[in-house]
Amino acid sequence: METLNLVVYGFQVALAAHNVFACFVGVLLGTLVGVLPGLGPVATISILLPITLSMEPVTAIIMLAGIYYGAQYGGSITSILLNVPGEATTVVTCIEGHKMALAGRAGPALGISAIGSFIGGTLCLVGIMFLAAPLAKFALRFGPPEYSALIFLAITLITGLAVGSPVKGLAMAVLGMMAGTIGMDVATGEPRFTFGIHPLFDGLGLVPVIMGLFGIGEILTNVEQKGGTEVIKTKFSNVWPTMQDWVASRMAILRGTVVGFLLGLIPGGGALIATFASYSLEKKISRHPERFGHGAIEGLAGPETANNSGSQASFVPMLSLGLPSNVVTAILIGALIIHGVEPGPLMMTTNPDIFWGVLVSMYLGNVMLLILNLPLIAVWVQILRIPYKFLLPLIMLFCLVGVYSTNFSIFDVFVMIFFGIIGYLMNKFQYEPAPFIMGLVLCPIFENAFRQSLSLSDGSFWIFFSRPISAVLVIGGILILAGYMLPSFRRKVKVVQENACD
Amino acid sequence: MREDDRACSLILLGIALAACLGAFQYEVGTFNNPGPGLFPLVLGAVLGVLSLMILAGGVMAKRAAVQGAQATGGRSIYSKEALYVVLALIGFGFLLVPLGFIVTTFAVFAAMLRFVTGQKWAVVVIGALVLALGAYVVFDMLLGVPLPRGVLGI
Repeated sequence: METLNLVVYGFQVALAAHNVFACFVGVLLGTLVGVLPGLGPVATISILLPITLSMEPVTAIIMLAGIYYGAQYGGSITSILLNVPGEATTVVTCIEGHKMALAGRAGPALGISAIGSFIGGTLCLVGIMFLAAPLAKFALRFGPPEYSALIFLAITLITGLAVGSPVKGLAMAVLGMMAGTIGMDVATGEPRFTFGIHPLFDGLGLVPVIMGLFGIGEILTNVEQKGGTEVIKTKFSNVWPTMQDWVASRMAILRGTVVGFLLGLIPGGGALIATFASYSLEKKISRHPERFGHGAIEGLAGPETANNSGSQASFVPMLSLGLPSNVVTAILIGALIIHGVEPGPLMMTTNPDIFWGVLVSMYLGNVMLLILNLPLIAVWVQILRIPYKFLLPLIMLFCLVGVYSTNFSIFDVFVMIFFGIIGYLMNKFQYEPAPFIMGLVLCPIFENAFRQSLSLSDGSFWIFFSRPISAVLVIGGILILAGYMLPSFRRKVKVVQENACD
Repeated sequence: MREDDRACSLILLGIALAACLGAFQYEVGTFNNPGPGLFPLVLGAVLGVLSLMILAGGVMAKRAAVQGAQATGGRSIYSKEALYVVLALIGFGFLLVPLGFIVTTFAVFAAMLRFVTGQKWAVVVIGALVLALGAYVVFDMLLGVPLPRGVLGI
């Protein structure tokens, strides 16, 4: 079987010494920064982005992926011990996990998250193996019209998840695209919107914008939140779940894997919906739903597993179609572009090392996470106690040096500061920075595909509807846009968000 | 928060109009021969429509709020701490090349520690010194990032 050979190839790539090392460093740094109060996975990956830029593309993406799930696990730790979710995907973790910690069972809560993530990640890889060959064949049928349609669909899906309103999310995506048009026009070489500022001829740097929006923006938002958080004082003598815990959560882990995998594959779906879906599923089919909200371990194990398998599955559309399905994969696409890898439907065929190497490394990374974290939890808990005022200067300096070191350009430092202020204002007025980044990253690809399509069709928009794949994608996007306008959708989103905030 | 929607949407509308006007500076072309200005023009138009929708939502919410007699009161958009952090960052950006990394880091972060986190002067001086020298050792000497030395040559 050809796919099996590719998986073996993936293991060869991922097991190369420098890649194992990159993965290890990524997981370790990711967890370390992810545990720090106030820094979620997206901020973590943004701040650490510059250190990967001098590496080979595969190694860089392996390390960034490691940082990502390391930071996610760090987020689980803060959720369980502090009741502070680093980002939306760990909101559900707080519900049961923190209750378990209050009952003195923080150890097993952290243990089951790691074990569930590991099992979910393993099974997910098997699922991706079966999916890869048909997907690669499907991707080959993509021309410029299909690709424009796909990006259109992805943007509509992503903005629907924006906190606040889909209209605002869409406005941010369009604004991001407009920022993406700054610089030299790909087709004619004419500089656009550069205002005569020389460094802008190459366009806005993705690194300073990402670090600004998610790193500096996060710092500015955090600095005004006063008051410390209470870390639960508890012993971590035993992180292994008991037999009873295991019996209660094993089916939840399996269900979480499936839910996460399926929802993760949908662009714009990803880990966020998966965690909520898994939680409500567990609650619904439980024989003891009254235990939920009081530290039910299956209500923790399911969503934690779904989170991990969902984020792993979200790498599939990114690595096979070049399509980011959430902020993190958008940042990774940005990193690929910086490394000169053209993301797109051909990537799986032209860069199999990236596709298989990264996916297999995620599996290895989960093993590392498990081995690393069970003994290190006591250390992470100590780090949690560091007050924010000591961290603030360190993080700021790291961002400043990091962004400067990528190009040795003071202009980039100011771009980062500018977008930091923008990110802060976005947080303040409830505009999501995520669609902005997606728009910025996708803009050149989208514009190119869009212009090529119109050239192919002699200026007729009918080309997007006359080809079956693109027709399905465009109509899907239009239906989703129409769906946002329905009052029932708005109510549902509100209900989900309010439940999450309880 | 809804009353902010009006201000934000007007800013977005302004950006949209500016982008449309800007797009005409470049060749827009036609749909069968798209020029560099076409895509920005389309984006500007879409953003314009979206900002009007946000504006409409804001105006309607404002009416509902007036009927519900909700007093929001005057509050500042930004906090003092956030402003200081931004000033520190900008200061760093301007001073880095002329003064060099160590001096700049020391000065900017001493100011930060003093005025944002309110440390004692002794802590300020020692903290900023450790930060500046430590970062220099880690980034410049260990990781090989050449940091600016400035006029003083340090």
